[in-house]
Amino acid sequence: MKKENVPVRTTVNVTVNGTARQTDIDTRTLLVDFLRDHLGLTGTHIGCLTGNCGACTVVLDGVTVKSCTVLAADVEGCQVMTIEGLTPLGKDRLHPLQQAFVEHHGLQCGYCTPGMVLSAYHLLQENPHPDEVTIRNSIAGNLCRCTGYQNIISAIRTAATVMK
Amino acid sequence: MIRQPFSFHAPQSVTEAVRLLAELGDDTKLLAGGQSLMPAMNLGVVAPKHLVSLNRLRPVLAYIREEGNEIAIGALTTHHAVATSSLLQKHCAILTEAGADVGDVQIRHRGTIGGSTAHFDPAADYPPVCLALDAKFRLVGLAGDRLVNAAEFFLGYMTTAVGPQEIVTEIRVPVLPAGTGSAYAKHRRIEGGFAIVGVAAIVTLQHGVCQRIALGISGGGAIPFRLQEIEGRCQGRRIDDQLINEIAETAYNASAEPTNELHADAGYKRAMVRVFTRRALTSALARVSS
Repeated sequence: MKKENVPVRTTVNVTVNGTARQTDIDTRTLLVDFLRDHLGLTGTHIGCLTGNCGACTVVLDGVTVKSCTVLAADVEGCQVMTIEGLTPLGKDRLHPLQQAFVEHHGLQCGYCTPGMVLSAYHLLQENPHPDEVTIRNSIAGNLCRCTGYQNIISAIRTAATVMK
Repeated sequence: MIRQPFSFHAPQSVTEAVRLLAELGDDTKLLAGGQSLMPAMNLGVVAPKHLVSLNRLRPVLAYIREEGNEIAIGALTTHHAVATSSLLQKHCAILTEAGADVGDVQIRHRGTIGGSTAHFDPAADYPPVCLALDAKFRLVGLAGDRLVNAAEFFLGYMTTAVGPQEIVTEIRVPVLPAGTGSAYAKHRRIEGGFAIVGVAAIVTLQHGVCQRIALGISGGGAIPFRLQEIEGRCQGRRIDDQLINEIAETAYNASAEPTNELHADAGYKRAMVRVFTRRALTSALARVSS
């Protein structure tokens, strides 16, 4: 049975970490694939592709989303920030959140970390003085298999005081 | 990588979206927040040939506004917006409870009330709440638009009244009257998980006596239901502990065939219907505004 041809490519115009991009993509391209494969921004990770683990978390038009659940074609005209966007001056100038994660040993393998840091970043933008329950709630969409979360929570608490 | 190729369309108006649905035919899916559809497409369990994204319509279909004695909510309103709406908190707080319970922060930022209800996972949070509220759904197709009551909207497992060429554009909920208390009590294994059992209770009292009671229950059967048999029975009575227990028992009896699931078998779910009906009612009564 012959499959009817469907137009499977499209163009997307999107701003990523402050830089405007225009790319021709296969419609099946997920935002996470676009960031990693087309733009080489491999800080955003893929852990499940089902919207559960949060390793693919990015900031889209000011709010955190799981980029494996967003099609690249659907971010036309949008602003995306990835983990790389937290260090615009390079890796030697860590964001206070990243510094706090280092100091509190809030990571081991590092796989969940970019998503975790961005969720924390969004939290502190919305709520600069979160209590522990609020912090725990804010990272409910980011799974960590290594740390048991306690040091992540300490890191976020410290970052909140530093960033005040 | 999604395996099946598809054409991607991003209409700029509801009219264009409806026209596209009609033109593209059967093998077409609507994409809103994508928090259910994208995982399914990533897994390959859903593979449409055409995808119509509604995301360009967020400016016109994401809103929460008071219209007389109802609140109109655009279908593309995110769970986050529902959960944090001061208008809903004031006039229909139970819906904010449901919105706040969906998934996690990221999911609530992107997922929409229209997408979620049209998808109709039987363990989702909005359906029992919408049933208890007598929420109405506006469906738009080529023939025009129609309003469908929640009771006629949720038909079967992942099946709603939305026709193959229709779009949910709005959900309407009542401004709950003075003397009303409401609560959504959800039993879930993990924070943000789907409901094993979810009970929505709305009670309106006048001088301590019940004027109206509505209970929406998920987890007690294949799909959520409204426990209609208790509504007349409570009319004009004080809802004391004995009556609460009676209602919880009725809910238990009505939950004859809960579906077995991995973490909760039917017998357990049935027992939890009784527990969470009691909890939802107790909370709702405690919240009755004077």
